[in-house]
Amino acid sequence: MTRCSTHSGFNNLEITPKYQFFESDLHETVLSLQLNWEIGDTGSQRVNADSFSTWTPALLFGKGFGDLPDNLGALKPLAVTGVVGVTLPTKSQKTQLNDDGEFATEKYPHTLQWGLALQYSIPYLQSSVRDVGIPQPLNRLIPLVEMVFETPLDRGGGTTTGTINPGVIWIGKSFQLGLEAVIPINDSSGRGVGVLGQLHFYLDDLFPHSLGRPLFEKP
Amino acid sequence: MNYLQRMLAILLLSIGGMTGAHAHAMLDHAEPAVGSTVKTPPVEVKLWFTEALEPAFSTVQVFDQQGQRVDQQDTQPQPSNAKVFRVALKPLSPGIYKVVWRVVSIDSHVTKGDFTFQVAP
Repeated sequence: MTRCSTHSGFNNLEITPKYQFFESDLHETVLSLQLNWEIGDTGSQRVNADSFSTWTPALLFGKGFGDLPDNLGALKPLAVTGVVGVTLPTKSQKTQLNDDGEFATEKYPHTLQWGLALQYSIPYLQSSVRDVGIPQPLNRLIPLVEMVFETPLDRGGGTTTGTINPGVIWIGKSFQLGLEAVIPINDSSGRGVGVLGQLHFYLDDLFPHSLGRPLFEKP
Repeated sequence: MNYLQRMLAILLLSIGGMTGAHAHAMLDHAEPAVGSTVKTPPVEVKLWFTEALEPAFSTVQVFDQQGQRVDQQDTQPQPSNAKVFRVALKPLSPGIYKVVWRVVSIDSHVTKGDFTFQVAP
């Protein structure tokens, strides 16, 4: 019999500067570079926060299909976004005593992180293609499928893992809601179908005079 | 939600032309309606947005198929409702017209978009 327990606490602090180096309004395309820095030993050991830092440079891209010809108008609200990045842990392995009193080595491989998301924006359909009269709140729905994968590159990291997540997002005035099924792509990724919920507050809209205020303003 | 999923969820809403990852001013509906065909040439285009707008920095332009402006360059909010903007039109002949809007909501966020309507008596 396995006894389950709940762990709580902060994970490591992460800082992610991002630079958008390409934008085409005509072709609804953006390209960005970002560097995620997970700062080691800033989180809680209770949730197994790593004691070492990890760097993840990544390329992000997004493409809307609003530039399709008008006879394909129904496809214009489609958009695809993606990310390709490599995690670079600053530590390769750790050896410690396990619960059985034996030394065990845990390896930290470099990994390729890659993902894709395909969405169909009802708000875009209504406001840029054709107002087909979808009423509120349905006119703020965005059905989507996200695919998230991780491929270890070395240090015996094993096989590619990941999930395919079909779901829907609803955009509100000051928050958005998301609900997705999480379907593992293989046994190494998990068993059974999970559920992922998201409640995302727009802090700059909720607090426009403090958090939402520009850092630099023209006098 | 792990790092990558969070990043994707935020990114995927940041493209597509107008919604953004935040609830900035979006076009709710328009008159003539987005993508519609009207028999009688309209004398104005009226846009309803989801948030109140800053009139000084918000514009609505209308172009014909040759790229010539056919609006009267008098974009203005409805006095009783800062979410509604209108622009008067020159006399329109049959054809397809493109409405291009760029607005600044009162919380200073900029959004833009466009749509077409057709005049076909």
